[in-house]
Amino acid sequence: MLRRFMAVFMGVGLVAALALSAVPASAAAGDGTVYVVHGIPGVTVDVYVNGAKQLPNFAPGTVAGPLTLPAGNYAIKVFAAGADPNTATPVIDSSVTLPAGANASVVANLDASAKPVLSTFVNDLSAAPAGQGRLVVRHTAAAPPVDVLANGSPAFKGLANGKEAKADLPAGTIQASVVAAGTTTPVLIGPAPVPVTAGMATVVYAVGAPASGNTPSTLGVVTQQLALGAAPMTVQTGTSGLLDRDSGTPAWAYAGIGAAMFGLVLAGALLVGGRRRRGVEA
Amino acid sequence: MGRRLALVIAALSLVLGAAVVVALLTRGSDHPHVRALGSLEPARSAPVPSVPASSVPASSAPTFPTATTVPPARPVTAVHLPAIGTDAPVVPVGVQSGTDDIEIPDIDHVGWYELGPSPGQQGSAVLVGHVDGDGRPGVFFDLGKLVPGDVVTVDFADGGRADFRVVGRQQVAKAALPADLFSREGDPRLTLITCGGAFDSSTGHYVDNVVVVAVPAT
Repeated sequence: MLRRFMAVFMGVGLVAALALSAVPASAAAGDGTVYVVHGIPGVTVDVYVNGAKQLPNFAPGTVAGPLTLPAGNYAIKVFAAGADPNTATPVIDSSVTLPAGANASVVANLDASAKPVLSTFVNDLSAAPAGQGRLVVRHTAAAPPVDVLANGSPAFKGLANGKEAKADLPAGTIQASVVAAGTTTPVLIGPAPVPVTAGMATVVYAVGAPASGNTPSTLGVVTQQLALGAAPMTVQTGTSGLLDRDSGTPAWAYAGIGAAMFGLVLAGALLVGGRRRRGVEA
Repeated sequence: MGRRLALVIAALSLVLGAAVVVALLTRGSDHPHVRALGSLEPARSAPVPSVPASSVPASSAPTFPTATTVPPARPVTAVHLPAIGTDAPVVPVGVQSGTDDIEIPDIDHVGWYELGPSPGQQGSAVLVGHVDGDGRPGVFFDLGKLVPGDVVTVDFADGGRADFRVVGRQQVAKAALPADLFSREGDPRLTLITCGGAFDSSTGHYVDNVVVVAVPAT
């Protein structure tokens, strides 16, 4: 009983300690976490946040972050790398709202009409089932709605620019390709291997623009992986009860109890016998 | 004469019985796995840094680290626990299909949860092993005897080897096994798990898990 109580007590303590340690000490409550994704092919840029150059020489196809920021509204300007922000025309002049406590990815990408924009996606980092990972596909390319094929079969259908689709899948690698919605050919992107990692979100951004006139296609993907919340699991590692032998009543206890009962009976018999004998003598 | 002998026997029997009662009342603290719990330190799970596991600083952008993907797995082939005289081969394990049960190898092997980090990578690398089975002790029978400071050494398939140092041990109800023990986030730590506590013969399982946490030896 005491042991059981202690085990439960210590279990509660462990959970509490782990819960406390999971909170980053440096982040104030409500701060958001931001990644920046460069999804515009061909242009290396400088990114200014509220007027300050935060991300110089940011190359296409790369992901920067995380940056911990208080929730709120941020003015974002994106210039060609090295341009004078006081005189040059920004590639993107926009703003981003970071919700309190959110984990977000801000993407510089082309909208459906090939205009450079910022798109903000909130990352769902809730736990996936044990042994599974999350595949997230975000359409940030200058293209009409698409279907995403996984191992040749449609997995996500009718995904439009600026939208995302997601699914939790067993860990492994899938062959992914992107086609115009409702078709299977021609393949616009891929097929390419996409890792599904247990406990992680694999976020795939479709970026670029299809071929137009003499301009070749710049369609491609940028991939980002983010840790998910941990899934609870069960560990069953004992079936014989050898550790717990003493929870039953051991043989020496039976022997001792038997001896005690024998002693009591014997003592009782002696007492009764003694009294009877005294009675005869009296 | 016979009566005196009988009295002596009766007295001895009563003393023996009393001793048994006292022993039964106090023996709860006798078991090594239980006594060890009395000296428990809180499992100091490694503090989670403000920079998440999936990122490394980039030299080109000092104000903004560059996010990276998960490093490739580094399979484990053996674990050594010199403090309890345990040397065991390690095999990769996953999840039993359709459940949240980690696969457990036979009682002479330790399982490395290959769907999580490798030892030394960001997050909690997990090794699981039987405490017993088939009526005999398993590879982690004495895991509960490890104490803070004990060394845990793992061998990797690439020929490398890494030392860890025990920082905490806990016994926790299986139903309350913290999910964070399987987290990919936070500083590198090595988590060894087996079973313990009372044995529920109606289910054929122990009711608790014994968890030992180690961090890279410096």
